[in-house]
Amino acid sequence: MAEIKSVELKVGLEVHVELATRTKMFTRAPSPAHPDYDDSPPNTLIDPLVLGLPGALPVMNREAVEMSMLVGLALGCEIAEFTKWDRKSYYYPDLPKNYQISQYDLPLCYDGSVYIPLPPTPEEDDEHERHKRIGIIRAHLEEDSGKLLHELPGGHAIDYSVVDFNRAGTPLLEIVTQPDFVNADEVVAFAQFLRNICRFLGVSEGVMQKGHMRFEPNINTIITLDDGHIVKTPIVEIKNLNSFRSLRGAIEYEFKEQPERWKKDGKEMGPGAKSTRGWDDVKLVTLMQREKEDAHDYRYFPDPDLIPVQVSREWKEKVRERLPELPHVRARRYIHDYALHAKEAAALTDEHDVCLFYEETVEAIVQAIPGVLSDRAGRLAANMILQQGAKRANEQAVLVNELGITPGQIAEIVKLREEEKIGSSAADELFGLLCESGGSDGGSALRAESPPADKEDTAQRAVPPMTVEALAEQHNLLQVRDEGQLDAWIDEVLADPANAKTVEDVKGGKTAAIGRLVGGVMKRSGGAADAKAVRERLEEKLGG
Amino acid sequence: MSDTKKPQGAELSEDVVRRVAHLSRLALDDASIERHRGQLVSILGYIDRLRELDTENVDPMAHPLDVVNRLDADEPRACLSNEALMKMAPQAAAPFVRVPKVLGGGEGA
Amino acid sequence: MELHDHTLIQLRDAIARREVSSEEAIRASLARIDSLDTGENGLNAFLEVFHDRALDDARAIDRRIAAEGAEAVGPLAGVPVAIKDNMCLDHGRTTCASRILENYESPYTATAVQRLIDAGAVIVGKTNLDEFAMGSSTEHSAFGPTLNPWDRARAPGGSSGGSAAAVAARMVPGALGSDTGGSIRQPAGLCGVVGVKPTYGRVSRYGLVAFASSLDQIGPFARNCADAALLMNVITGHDPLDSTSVDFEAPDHLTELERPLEGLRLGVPRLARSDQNHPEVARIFESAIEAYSGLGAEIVDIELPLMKSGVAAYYIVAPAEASSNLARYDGVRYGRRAEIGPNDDLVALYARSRAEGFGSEVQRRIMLGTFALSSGYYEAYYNTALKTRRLIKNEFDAVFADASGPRVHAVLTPSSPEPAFKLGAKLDDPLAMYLEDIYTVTANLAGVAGVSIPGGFVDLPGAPKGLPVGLQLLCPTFAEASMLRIARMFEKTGDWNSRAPEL
Repeated sequence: MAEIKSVELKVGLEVHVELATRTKMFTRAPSPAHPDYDDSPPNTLIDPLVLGLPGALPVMNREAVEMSMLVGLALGCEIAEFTKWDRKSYYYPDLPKNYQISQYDLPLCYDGSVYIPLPPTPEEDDEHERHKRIGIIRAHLEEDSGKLLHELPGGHAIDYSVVDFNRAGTPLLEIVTQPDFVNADEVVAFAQFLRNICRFLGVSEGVMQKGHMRFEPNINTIITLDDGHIVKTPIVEIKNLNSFRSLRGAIEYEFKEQPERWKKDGKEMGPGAKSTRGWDDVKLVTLMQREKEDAHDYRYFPDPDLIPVQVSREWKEKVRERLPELPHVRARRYIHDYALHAKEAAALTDEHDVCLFYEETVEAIVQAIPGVLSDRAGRLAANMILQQGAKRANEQAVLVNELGITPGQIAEIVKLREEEKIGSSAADELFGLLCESGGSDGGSALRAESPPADKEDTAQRAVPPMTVEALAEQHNLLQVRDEGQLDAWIDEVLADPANAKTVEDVKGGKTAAIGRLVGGVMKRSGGAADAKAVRERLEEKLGG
Repeated sequence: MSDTKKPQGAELSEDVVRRVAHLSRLALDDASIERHRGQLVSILGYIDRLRELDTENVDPMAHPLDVVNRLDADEPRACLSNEALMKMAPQAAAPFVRVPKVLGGGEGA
Repeated sequence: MELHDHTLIQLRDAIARREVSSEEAIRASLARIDSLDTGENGLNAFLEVFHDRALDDARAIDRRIAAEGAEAVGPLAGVPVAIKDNMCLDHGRTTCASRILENYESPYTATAVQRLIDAGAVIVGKTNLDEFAMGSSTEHSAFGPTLNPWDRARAPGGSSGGSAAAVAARMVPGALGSDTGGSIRQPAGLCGVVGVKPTYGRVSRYGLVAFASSLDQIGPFARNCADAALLMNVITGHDPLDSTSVDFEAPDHLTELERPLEGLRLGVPRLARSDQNHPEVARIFESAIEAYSGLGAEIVDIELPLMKSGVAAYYIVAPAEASSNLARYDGVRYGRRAEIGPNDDLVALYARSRAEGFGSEVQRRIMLGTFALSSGYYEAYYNTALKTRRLIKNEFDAVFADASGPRVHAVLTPSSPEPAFKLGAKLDDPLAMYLEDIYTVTANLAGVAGVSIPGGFVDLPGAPKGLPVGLQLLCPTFAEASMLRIARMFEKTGDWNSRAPEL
């Protein structure tokens, strides 16, 4: 028998995004995908329609349609002029009506494509950007099911199952890609890209642990044998992956396993050969899953309780106007306008709120410092956010915008620093103080208002310039350049016997040693001395 | 009054009827399956007259209304209480509805 | 005249004039129900009667009438009405005459019912029906058949047989039914009352337990056209809770009711004059045609060739939708749940709960509908039926509209091919029962309006003297007001409305 020469991977991805509308897709019961309701007690987000009570009727949520259109437009899709709702029938306890309202043959969005940024390969320098085109087959709306649980909260074992209907009826956008991925990295990059887009669009918080996004990769391998024959292994669909880690794990596992499976069973791709597997997060393997009983006969037909949706050009354009600048576009702009590195730009656009915070800060700096160029402002804001900000945000496990400090305050720090009123350590300390004093205006990822609204926000939050400077003064952070005070500190340092050797060194021409003395003065001044002035003064005194 | 045309539905096999009963979630014994088969054959035999019509190029009509776009604003309304559900559920484990143990598969939309 | 002999408007006016209190009117209705509906020979029109609650409601209405005047309370202030038990009400049970919902209590009220209540009506009870409205005789009720008030050995028709019988027996002056393929018009015909099937979308379906969503429509039963028009005024109109409820305003069906339609052209389809009909029904039908001619109407012979295909298309479309609509009755969240053993799985729970909970006709239609939608048969059955439906709609469009104005204003047929049949006569022959709907189903498929009015009485051997025969008018969509005017023209030519069954 021929030996395997090489194996290629082919993956298509289905992504379910729970849209964060306030209410459900076909009824106005609150939806758990919205942050206001996500910790509601079990079986409280229910009404006659959610429970499939006799006589209840569905009425479509406009926002769910528009959010789907936003995602579709962001993914370069066509928006259907005419779309309708179909019933997909199967019996399951978490599906109250025992049919799911979905879109069968006329999805709302179809035929799109996106260029996703790929992580640089080790051989490439990290300034280099790589992109890959991913085709989008369709994105359709459907309602989510409830949750079937096999243990009670707190892990209490039960010999039955229970149902929580809170999630039932939440709008779910199912995005289906072309099988364009050739490795797990690309799939994960796309998944993260999509999550970021959804957050920027304000259509989902994208919290993986809450199941806001679920992935179902369709995976198969193409095996080239040493005799030249090519074998395609059967497609395996992995259900319900809800982390990037498990998405990667499942794909990498299948990439390894499928050729082994083929060696054992010889099964190749073909009708009826597709199988469904689940990912075991502990054992890190995929396991064969039992299919839904009715999986082969869903009996789709047009839902007679609903009427079609017709999307006019005007409506589509109105929705398009809601489309914010997307993260990858912003990143490109930052690189171009502010001369940021690709890595910096990526870090700033990874989180929607951080990105807005950054832009507000740039704007605040431009306002605070007359005559500053915008590229300089962009650089200064990036430095503050990616250094002082990121450090603290990491420690506290929050986002920079949640630290409590406002863009206006950061601008004031930058201004003080530019005016040389404070040193770098004082700037850092001031940043810390303002984080502590500030009330959290965290803001959720959902506040994806258009940029103008956020600018108003900035104006409101901008703190009068004196406040930050006053705070600096209060904490003795302003640099002291008063010669009398500087001389007093310097004289103390020079008089200190511990420094006698250093003083001799400097006088003897080892000018580099002067740094130690500068440090001593700074220490004595509690950081308040202007280091530059101290150095000048010391040079005067010792160099003569 | 029933139509005497040879019913095409007569080809309906017992297996098909059993499959339909399963899809319908109706527990039918052998006698019921046979009875249903007979009735389906007779009714489908009558319905088969539709095949005599020329329906080529006819647009299927799933609904009598021509209207589109009934869309609601995304504003929450009152819910039913958990107690209301607990009261109507045949078997509950508050605050949940209880079903027999379900093994694997199928979860999620 | 006794209180129960009052028509709806007569009673409403008497209450408004404070000659009668609502409490008295409700007592009279309840007394009539108590004496006629229960016991060995009881008509069994009601599945539940709200004795205490109705009287409480009536007294509250009386207080409001005293304080604000009847007009402020509403156009139905104080009158008793009944609703078919497939409409949700936030008190009592909503059973759909099914074991599976035997003890089901709805937490909310259907929009159409709420409109009655808001208009001041008092709901005295919920009426019997074929289980989930599937049937043409009310014999497929899990709680026993309703008897026809004109002959207790006969069926009242169905599925709204309880509402039709309740109005015919003068237990209530008005009631609501639902019509999916003739379920208002056929029993109205067999019970000698007026029954309106409004245009699809005219009356909210919110809270109507769905049988076939694209065909179902709530409509009124009354003893005459004016009462039916008044009830139409109350129940029609847009409902934001039903996506299929149209959002344009409904006309006042009463204002022009008495004004005959000038230049009336009535279409008589060939099928309506075929040998389909019982000879006595044919006789009544011909005399009705003559009566309209006598009123100056032009009688136009029309083809409507697809009328005879209606039943075949209907018995795919309706069961297909029903198989899906009734999937929710699974014994998990509410309703009947079968006892299962510790080793039985979910499929057993579903399949046994449903096999125990659904009666034979409902099971038959679920099977038929599931089959028609299932893989391999969808095209041949479901899709072919939908195409036939389109052709039927086109046929009506052609009859009702023409470049030079309407060809006909209404289509006239008997409501059903024969007078009330004996109980049990068609129970073992589903197909024969389905053909009861031959004149009525096309209106539901096309979504047009229809009404059944008393057309006359016939004497059949072995039956008590005088069984009613119904006359059906089908009209273009949203033409209910002129439809009722056309019906009223005929109504004025006879005294059938004043006849009461001997009970």
